[in-house]
Amino acid sequence: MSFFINIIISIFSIFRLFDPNLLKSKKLGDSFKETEIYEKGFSKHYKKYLSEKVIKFETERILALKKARNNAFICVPIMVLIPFVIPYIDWYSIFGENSFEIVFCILFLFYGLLSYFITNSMNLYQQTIKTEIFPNILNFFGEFQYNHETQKSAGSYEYSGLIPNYQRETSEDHMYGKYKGVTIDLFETELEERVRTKDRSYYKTVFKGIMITLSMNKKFKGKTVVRKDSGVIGNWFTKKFSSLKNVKLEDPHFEKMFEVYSDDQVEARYLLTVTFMERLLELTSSFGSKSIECCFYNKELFMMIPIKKNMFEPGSIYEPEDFIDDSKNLLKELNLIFSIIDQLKLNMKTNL
Amino acid sequence: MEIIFGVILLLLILLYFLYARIIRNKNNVFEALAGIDVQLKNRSNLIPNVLTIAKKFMNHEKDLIENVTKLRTKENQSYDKTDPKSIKDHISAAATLGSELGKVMISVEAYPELKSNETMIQAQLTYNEVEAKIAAARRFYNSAVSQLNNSIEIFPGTFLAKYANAQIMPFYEADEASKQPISAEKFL
Repeated sequence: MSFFINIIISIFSIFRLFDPNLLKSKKLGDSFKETEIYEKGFSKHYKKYLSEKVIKFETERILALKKARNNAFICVPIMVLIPFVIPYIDWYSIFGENSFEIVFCILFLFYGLLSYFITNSMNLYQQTIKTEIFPNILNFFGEFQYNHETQKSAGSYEYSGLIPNYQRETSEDHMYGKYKGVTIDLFETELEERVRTKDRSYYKTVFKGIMITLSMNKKFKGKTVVRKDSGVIGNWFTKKFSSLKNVKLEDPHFEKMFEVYSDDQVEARYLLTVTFMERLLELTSSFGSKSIECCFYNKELFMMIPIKKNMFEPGSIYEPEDFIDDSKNLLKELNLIFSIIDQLKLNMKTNL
Repeated sequence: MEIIFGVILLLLILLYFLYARIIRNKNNVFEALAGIDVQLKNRSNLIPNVLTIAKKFMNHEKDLIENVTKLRTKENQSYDKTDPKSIKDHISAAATLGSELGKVMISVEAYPELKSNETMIQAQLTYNEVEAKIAAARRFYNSAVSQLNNSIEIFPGTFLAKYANAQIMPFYEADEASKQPISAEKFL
């Protein structure tokens, strides 16, 4: 589904390439203005690591747009002409009975290919922002590493019992670093399950969001899993087919939203204190998500946070490049990630 | 005739499930009680270390220290895990010991030399950890007791409880001292 949406977005963005003011230089922001608490100190960092790259990247942005526009001048007339040519060709004699479906597929692929040809330079430019600029923004938090591509896979978290059944996985934006002494390892992923019906098969998204592993200050004896509440029948099935035992907790609001399973009843309650339950509920509302799920195992807390929006993306290529918007976005998104540690107080040595 | 037989069979099956539930709940209480004992044992093992260091510095708290020692001995005594009264006494002794030990830990604040002692700092951290685990074990026990008591107080549980050899179990409640509001002035 996201594939089709991406194609439609690329087709629309192509039309912006014909804006007469597109290649004119616009005024760049000269300095980073700190407007949020979490941005404190970033203006210095911006001056030191990012401002000197602005002119180079602005030139590259104009070049990428120029190339895309040139390609658009070749491809768009073809894209416009095709619908007028199609009715004059006898497709039935070429493809037979299923000619309509086949022509539709060919056209879709052809348009996709042309869109790719036009937008390729723009996409490459935006990838360069991610690979060259994002690490420089993340340096602000100390030893933080960022990789646009990742070898990480949801498969390595199967032990949690939280990973849904999936056949296709698209992962990107791997980040690794420390915040207040807690090691954060996160990546963005989309898991899709193949659905087969009588006539066709298609992929349905079963999870889209971020997977985070946070180091904890102590090792756990057992495994404790916090799942979203899946109703009476869903919970009954989970209980029946899980090796873990259901943990009944005192907070009725928490019990309404989550189901807890563990192989150590005492440890589960040691971890999920009344305060911790409240913090988890607060975190759920700050992410605007109803279904944060997590697993305490070994020395780690693994969390799955569904987020519809594609996170850690650079700003629009149609805007002048000064990295200010990129920085502001990235800082805002990371602040949200750090709020997990702050809200759950994972940096505290005792009693979580 | 067949209908009557069917109804009787259905009733027997239902009674069996209720009986099995009481047994399961009873075993859960025993499991939870064992969990509490493990944590109480950890606390009990910690006490001699704390008292040995405390005795060196806390000259004015002799009574308190002696009381803790006595209560520790009382808590360590074996008890009948199937007798609610015996369990209640055991829990009560544990709660009182917890309260007295808490007082020792608070008194440490009045002795700067003791407070900054490395062994004492470590002992306090372990104490906090053990207390948190006792609290967790207590929550598990109370949850199990609540389930058992509900299952045997509601008919036909009352009737089946005799056959399952199950009795109403006492809750692990915080002792009276810790229920009192804390006055900040005492520690200032």
